[in-house]
Amino acid sequence: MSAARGHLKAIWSWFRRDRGGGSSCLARERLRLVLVHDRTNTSPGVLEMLREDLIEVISTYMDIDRPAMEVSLSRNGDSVVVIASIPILGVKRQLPGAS
Amino acid sequence: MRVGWSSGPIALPAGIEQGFRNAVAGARRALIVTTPEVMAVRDADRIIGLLEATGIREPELIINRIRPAMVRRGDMMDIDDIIDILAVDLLGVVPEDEVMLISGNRGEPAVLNGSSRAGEAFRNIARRLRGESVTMYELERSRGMFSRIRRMIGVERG
Repeated sequence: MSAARGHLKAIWSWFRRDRGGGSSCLARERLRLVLVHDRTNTSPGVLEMLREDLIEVISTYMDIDRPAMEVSLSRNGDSVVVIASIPILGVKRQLPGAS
Repeated sequence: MRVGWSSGPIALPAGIEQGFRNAVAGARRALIVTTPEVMAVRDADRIIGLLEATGIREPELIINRIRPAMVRRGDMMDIDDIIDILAVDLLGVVPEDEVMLISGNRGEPAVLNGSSRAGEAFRNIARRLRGESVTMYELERSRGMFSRIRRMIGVERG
């Protein structure tokens, strides 16, 4: 029922756009992008927690330079990307789980 | 100390500086007023985040100055868009209405104007605040034939 309603809404908005309007789609998209930034910045704990989790995962495979590690958000065209720069000091010879 | 009122509204200044902290210090419940513009909704999102941080949960939203014709044209974010993005409950929707400015000029409350659509929306919001169940404001009184058909097939919410 709601799927059918979604289709009808999509068809209707297609007709609407044909009549010249439609900038509300742009508004939604712009809002989505700024809110990704805002919500990450207003809760700085998120990036810090992500950083700790990344360290944990990558450390099982490689020795990394933790103080030099950088995690940040960046805008790339129409999307927001997480950029992590993690200097590797060495790769572990014995991988976990490999016998 | 006993005071005469058990509760009352606190109007927040715009912005999130000291005024915000002073006003929320004594607040138990929060109503957020925004307009269907990108930067206004963005600010509303920041306020919701700050309110959560101060322990005021589940703020309610009032969307002000919505223009039904622009929403229909697809040139203004609709109610569902804003509710989806902010993830809060809707308390009311106030349409753009010239009467608001004229009432302000004359110093008369718009809620006392029986013929004003915005006034009616504000009265409905007040009744919902008192716990009454009032159906959401119908954005347009006179609906065209297309609008009625759309409502019938479920594309548009009544």
